Amino acid sequence: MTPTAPPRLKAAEPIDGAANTEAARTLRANLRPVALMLPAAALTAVLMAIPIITTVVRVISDGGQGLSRLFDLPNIWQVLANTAAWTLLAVVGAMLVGYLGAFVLGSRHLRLIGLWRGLIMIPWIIPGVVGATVWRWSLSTDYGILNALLLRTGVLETPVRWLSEPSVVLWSVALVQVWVTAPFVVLMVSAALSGVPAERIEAARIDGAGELALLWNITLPAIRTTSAICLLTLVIWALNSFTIIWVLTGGGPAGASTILPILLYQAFQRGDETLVYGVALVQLLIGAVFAVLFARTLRTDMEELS
Amino acid sequence: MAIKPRTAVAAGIAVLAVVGIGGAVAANVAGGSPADENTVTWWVPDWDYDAATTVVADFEAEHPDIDVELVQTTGDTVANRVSVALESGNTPDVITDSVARVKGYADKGQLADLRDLYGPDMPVEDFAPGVVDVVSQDNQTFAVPYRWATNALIYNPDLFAAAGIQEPPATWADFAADAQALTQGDVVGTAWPMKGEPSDLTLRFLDFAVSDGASIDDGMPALTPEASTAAASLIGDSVTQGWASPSSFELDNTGIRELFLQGRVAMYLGGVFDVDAAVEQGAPIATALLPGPDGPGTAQGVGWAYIVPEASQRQEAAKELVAYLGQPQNMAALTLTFPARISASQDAKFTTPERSAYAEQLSQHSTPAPNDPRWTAVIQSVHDELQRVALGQTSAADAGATITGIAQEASSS
Amino acid sequence: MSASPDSTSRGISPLTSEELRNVGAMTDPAPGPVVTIAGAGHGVPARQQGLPRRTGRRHTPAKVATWAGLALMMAWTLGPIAVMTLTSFKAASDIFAVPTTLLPRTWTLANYTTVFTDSSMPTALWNSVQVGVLVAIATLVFCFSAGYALARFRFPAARPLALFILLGQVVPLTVVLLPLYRLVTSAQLLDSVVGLAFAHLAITVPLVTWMVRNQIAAIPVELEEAVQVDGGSRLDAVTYVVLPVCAPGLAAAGIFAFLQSWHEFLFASVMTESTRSRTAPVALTEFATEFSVDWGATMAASVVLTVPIVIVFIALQRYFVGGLTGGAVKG
Repeated sequence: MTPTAPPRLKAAEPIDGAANTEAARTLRANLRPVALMLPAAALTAVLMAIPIITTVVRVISDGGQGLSRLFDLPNIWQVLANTAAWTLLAVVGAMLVGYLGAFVLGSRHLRLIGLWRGLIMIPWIIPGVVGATVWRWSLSTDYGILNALLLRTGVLETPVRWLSEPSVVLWSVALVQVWVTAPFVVLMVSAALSGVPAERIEAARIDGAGELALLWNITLPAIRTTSAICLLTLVIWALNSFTIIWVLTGGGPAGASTILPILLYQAFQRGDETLVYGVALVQLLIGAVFAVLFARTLRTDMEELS
Repeated sequence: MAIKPRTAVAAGIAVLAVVGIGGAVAANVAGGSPADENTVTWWVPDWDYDAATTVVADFEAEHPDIDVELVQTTGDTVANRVSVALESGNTPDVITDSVARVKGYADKGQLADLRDLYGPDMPVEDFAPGVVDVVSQDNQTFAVPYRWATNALIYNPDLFAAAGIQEPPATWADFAADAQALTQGDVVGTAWPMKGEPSDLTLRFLDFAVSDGASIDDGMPALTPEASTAAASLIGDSVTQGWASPSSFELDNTGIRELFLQGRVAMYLGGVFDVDAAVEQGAPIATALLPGPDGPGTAQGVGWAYIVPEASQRQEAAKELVAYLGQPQNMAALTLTFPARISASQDAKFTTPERSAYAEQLSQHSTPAPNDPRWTAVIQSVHDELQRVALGQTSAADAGATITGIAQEASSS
Repeated sequence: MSASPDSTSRGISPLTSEELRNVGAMTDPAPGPVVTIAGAGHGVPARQQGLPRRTGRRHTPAKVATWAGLALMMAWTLGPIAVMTLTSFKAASDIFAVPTTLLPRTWTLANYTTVFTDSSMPTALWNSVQVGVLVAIATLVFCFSAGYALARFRFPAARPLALFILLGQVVPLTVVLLPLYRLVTSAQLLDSVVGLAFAHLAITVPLVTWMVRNQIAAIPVELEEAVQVDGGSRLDAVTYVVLPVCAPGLAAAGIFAFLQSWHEFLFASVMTESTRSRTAPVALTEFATEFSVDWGATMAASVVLTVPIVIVFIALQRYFVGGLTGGAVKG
């Protein structure tokens, strides 16, 4: 992160006589950030440091028992693979659907945009367990609306076991996660799109650029930071998502849709503390990798901008 | 520059926040938790809440020096709340919780000993077989069970008659044959709860295994490969062969009950609540003992109990309340399924004709379900293994061996 | 004379003092204030009304595509919602009827009656709103101060501290549960709206700090400096430059925080006891008895929970997605 006020001012067009005052003011002002930071930092320290440190300490003091028991579980590799697949499907899906939604809602050809935008948020507003249950009913093999529709319109001949066929089940649950999380992406990207300077787009259009080129070269790069935030949030949500899979499949059949958070919850329910901390540590590490990547990306962006 | 108004607003918000938080804290300290020595806090699930209010009113009339405060829990939240409360030491005085969790808490020393409540007023012999043992260890008893029930066979007499079957199945062979005969059109012979609580499926597995030679010792199942294989075959192969609903993967107990009520499942292993629901709706229903390999099978008892946390500040008063709740008439008032005390089951609501099979199953062919935390830890693995048989990914014999191995390994840990 | 930094070398459009004042004072509706979360920050507010509107046949395919896209999105979004709403009007026997029908055979209001008279849902709804609003406000207050400091100042602890705060977002909640519970209990804030709001800050602060930080960093510091050169304090710079320009993004972050709190079940189930503080997700479990769930009532409760929020959202959303609905851009 490049230094801000003083050097930039020196490099800029000089404001006659103002430099000294600026420098002096900046010196005093450097005390302020600490005061500003203190509430948030203290709060976060209290709220987050203790569990993070507790987790690490617990796992280590058990002699790494939590981790070794975790990796001794017969289905651990399936769970890790499921988690990876699930995260990929859910994040990519939500980004695609979210961007599509934001672009549709940002179009000049639309009326009543406020209404549509409000309606699109509903999946994020309804209680998670309710959304998951409605999808469970709809995806039910013999009694669900989706199969009934597909069978009646002739798209399918035999019902698809959306929630009980091991090869399909991850796609089904990822679909529901996309349904729930895409509105967040729509919200963020919509807000970001409205900040893209229109005259640049118009200028490029006048110069003859096609829509796709506009998208790729101007719009998307302009909202890169938002995209990064969306990605990170979606990954974190996917890594912690529990309700949807629990309600839809309970992690089944035969563990085909069990991901790390489900494993954590199962251990938590049985009071199996060592395992809980083991899984928590693994989740923490995975999440931390993404967080660091995110921070790095943003830092580069900031440096490029200034 | 308009500094003053803005600063005033900011300051105002800050003051408001401080006052608000301070006020909340003060309000909680002043009016919140009862400092009164003799107010007993009782966490009761919402399905018992109304009955509990009446019983508590009577209790307070008989014990004017003790006040009882009721706090509602819900089925979904009870496990979390109780375990967090016990861990943190900030506990109520009496808790209604499932018998299956008692041993786990007792092992951690979080429960008070209630052995001295058992005596002439509440003899151990009056309780259903094995239920007091299951909540005791080392000459201490950590709970007073008040509800205890098993599964039995629920079947639709109309569908049976239509298929030409006179009697409910008495043996496993009959069970399979009848189910296959009943599976036609929209109707399927039976179904298993393969979604939802994993313990629902493993309970039925154990029902079969115990009927075939396995046993439950000190809260831990002792399985044999033969019994496990036979049980796994009944559950898993029935799905692959089609006489148990392939939708079992998506069904929990409620789902199966609903399908039964609509005449789409002919028979299943279910609890007594389902019976009441069917009778209420006027749906055709009859009950029978669980079939075993050669005759009646053994079912496992599960239920709920009262516990007193060791951390409670008012243990004496709490024990008074629990003793009162353990009286037969009060136990009957608070029980939806069957009371844990045999003398309490004379009440009319427990002696309907549909319930007679349950009463017989409970008193003569039942054993308490395992509650050792070591078994609880492996329920998920056993459940998944059974699902693999139903998916056709493994054979019943292999699954039986695997499950027996899992149980043995858990016992030795 | 306001500052005119060497703009071209940094790719920033030059700002006239008039535009600067507009950005701050929001008096002129024409350039809508809109440097939001986007990293663009390359100066000026977007959708200006002066753009020539192109009409004509050339745009029909795009129009059709847009409306088709909208229809698709609405079907996808609202399909399950339709199921939820229609279920709330079904009697219990209808809900599990096989074959499933979308529409109720007989419409009934019994579920709504249950929700309003026989449950703690109305109180829970109010509690959830209180907690959510508290969380949103507290989050914005904390995160704005921290985000501003992180974006504007350089001090040695900045980077690790920022990363540390972000790591707070990745901790699984079940791990935070017990320490947080103990904290809230010791502050005598158990079973209170304030206590739960405090716990929810653990979920919202980490990410929102970063959101705000990035928004602020995207605003050229020249704008603030211009205010200070004109004689204002830093606080003035913040009030008249940063806040208005960030407003849409801040509102989005606030909504994010509100909804995160709204949804939260684990902490709420453990830290609330009575109707004094029980929130909506916990109250929903009331409709589940030991052996069965009253789905009709649950769905009715969900409708009751959702409708007000959606209405408020529709009413408020113009404030955070800035210029899109402003002025003459309407078709």
